[in-house]
Amino acid sequence: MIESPENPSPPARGERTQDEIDPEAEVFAAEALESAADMLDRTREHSTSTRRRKIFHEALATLMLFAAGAATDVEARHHSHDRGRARIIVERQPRRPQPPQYYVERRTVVVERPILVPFTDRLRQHVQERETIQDQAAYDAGVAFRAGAREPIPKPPGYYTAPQQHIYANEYRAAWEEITRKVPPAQQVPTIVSPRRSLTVPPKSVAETTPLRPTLAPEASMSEQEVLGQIRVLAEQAARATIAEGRDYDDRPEAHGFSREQMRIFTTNAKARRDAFGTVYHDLVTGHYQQHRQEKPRPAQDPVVAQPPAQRPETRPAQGPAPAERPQGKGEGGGMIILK
Amino acid sequence: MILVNMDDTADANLIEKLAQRLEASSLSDDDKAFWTYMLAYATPDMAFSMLTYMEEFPEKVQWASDILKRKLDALDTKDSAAWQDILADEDAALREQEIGDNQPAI
Repeated sequence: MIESPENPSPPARGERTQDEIDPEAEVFAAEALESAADMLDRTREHSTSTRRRKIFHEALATLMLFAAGAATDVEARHHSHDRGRARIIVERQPRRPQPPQYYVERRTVVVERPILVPFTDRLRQHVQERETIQDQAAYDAGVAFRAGAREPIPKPPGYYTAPQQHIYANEYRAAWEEITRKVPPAQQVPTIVSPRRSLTVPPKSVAETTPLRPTLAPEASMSEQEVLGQIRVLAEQAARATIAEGRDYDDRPEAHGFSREQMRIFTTNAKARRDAFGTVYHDLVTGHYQQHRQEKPRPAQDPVVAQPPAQRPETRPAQGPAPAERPQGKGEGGGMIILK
Repeated sequence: MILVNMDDTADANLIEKLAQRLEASSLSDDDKAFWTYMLAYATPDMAFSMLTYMEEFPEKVQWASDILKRKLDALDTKDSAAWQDILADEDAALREQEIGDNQPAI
């Protein structure tokens, strides 16, 4: 049968309609992207080698991205190196029109069409889920190791889907290897291993079936809710001092003279907790100034204090987003996905 | 002959250049058709990388083409074993390349 735009052939093997989404394909495509990331890492390792070698590596990595991008209907359009890890930014790109000559002149081609998965949002969700699963697996491996286990026996939660369980098992073993590599057998004493990434809000599918699992280190006695309560107290204290003393806006906990004991709360699950602190602090400080401005505009002679913090990012340390840009969660940000 | 220069990286015509280069290559008609089809997904970055590769490794264009087809097939069929085989083949090719590059020039 001659394939043409007017007379399309039936879906080829693996081809999917717009409404049909194959989670397994998403998982596999994401793994392919990670392979590309590994390849890019290796390209980086060869950054001091010959030009020819770099070209060869780069081409392989590009083909990897190209294949994964084509197969997932997204364009893996850019990569960069950040803190020793390759990062791939995947962004949905409107599909280019098919070259019409293909149908006329090239109809004998036997290469099957790649999977067409309309899924930027789905992929983003998948990446979020994957990161959460990775965190959970790393956490569980650390707990098992500390409890004296000597074999990696992953026990994925029952509410995981089959692909999620597969990811969990792989990540669990990887985390286990990382733990045992870091701690030589002769010195292997129970150690607490924190999740490699902070556990943020779990994916919907998980959240709907189970309460958010505490992400504290096993030795901590507080629930995550209690921790968040304490963080809120600290943030309120910092915001009050900022307002009362006319200090510069600074949403970092360490900028507010907390005691070492108080600061310990930020050593576990650091990013999420610091973000929580920053969010509360930001809301309170900006809320105060906005209210104050409405009630009684501040005199212009003190621009540092008079200006709402969100409008003077120059007073804020370089790291992290500006207050007004505080991220609301993983995976957000204009349709971009970052695989770490 | 220098096929591309850095200014071309921003040039959307890179894809067209790649298409022309592939058409003029020693690839089989089927492979050329495959690339014609796949170029619908190409980006200037990808085109630049491939053009540079083709310039530097004209004898390995067929190999790259085969690798890409195998990857798409593995993705299509979700065949993890096939994917791992491809990665192993790439490793071997990279090692071979490194050995070749380390040979003293005659």
